[in-house]
Amino acid sequence: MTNNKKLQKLTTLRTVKLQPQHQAQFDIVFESLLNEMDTPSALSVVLIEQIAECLFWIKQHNNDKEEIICYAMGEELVKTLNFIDKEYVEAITHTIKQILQGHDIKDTEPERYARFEEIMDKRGMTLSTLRAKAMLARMDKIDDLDAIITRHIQNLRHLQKGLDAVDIKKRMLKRLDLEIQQLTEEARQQREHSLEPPLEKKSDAIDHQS
Amino acid sequence: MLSTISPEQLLANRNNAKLSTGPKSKKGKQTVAKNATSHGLNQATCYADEPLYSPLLKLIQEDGFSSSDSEAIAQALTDYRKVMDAYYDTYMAIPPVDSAYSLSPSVIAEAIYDMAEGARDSVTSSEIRQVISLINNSRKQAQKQGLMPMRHATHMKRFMRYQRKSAASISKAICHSDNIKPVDVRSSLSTSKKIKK
Repeated sequence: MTNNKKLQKLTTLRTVKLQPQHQAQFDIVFESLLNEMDTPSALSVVLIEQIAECLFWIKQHNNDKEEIICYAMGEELVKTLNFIDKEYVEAITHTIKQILQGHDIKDTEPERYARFEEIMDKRGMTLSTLRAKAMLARMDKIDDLDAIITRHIQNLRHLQKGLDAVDIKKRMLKRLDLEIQQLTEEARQQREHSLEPPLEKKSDAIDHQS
Repeated sequence: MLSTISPEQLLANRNNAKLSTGPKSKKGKQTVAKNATSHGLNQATCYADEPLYSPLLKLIQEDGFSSSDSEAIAQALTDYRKVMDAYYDTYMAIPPVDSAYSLSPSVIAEAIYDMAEGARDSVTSSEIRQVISLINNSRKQAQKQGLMPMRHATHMKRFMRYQRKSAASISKAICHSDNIKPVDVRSSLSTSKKIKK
């Protein structure tokens, strides 16, 4: 079976199935990894798919970590009130996210920014102190996510080990095959040489005849 | 939002629920049998029933692995996929934040006392305290779990041990397979055999 046919067959198999909003992101990673391989076997492609999924999860959980910190910052700020309100926390978190992403909400939404500044002043905090406090408050969740990310890295190592095993064995056999071909070629040339009369003797014979 | 039923009704419902003997119909019994199943990763896998197993096995065999090696690799990959599919499903279906998250302890107490005001004769103060502590506990629990992104961390952590086992079994199955003969190499080997003859 040719390599293209195998890939075609695998696309109908596709072991990793994600929802459309994640599938496009995954496909980019998968295709870039696949392009790095010269002639991947079907098993290599399956393994590459799993590696791409690990990379997708690492990225996703890193985003989750940043989200957790933003939400924790929102919670920390809302703690100035007597009770924590979900919608209020989400609104403050949205503001914090926009500020951290560099959006200029001071001009676009001055009221919201003024309210945010008011709460920050009331608590005597800057964004960096708030972030530090939020991280301390939700350290358990961040630790959990770190452990999950580490797990995905270890999964990736296992899969890479498997891929190397497939690839190295294949390369070794290819190398041995090429060596055999080279040796047979040399042997064939030597045999041809031995069957042909030596050139010097031929020229001597011509001289004698003359 | 607070529940609209009275504390008296709430306690009565709880006591009545304790008397229930569960579903009676066969369908109902089958449904509740799956109540405790969260991901089903502890169950033994019947590989023949797995849709991914046989196409994978065929592909790996075509790659030149021996049948026993192919089976081991296909089984390891099927197990790994089962874990990762359950992982993704759980990630996408994190339960929503409990409404108790937004409640204030003083607001809860006030609301419960207001509701109990009309039924002072039938509800004792200890029962009112019991209801308040129940709602407060669920509020604390909800706030401890945090909002949506924080819930991901808690829910996904339980898959780690399954991932560890399945990922290790993939590399083990592949590294222990010795009879690897990739197709493109096999064809050229046959020509070299002919030459040798």
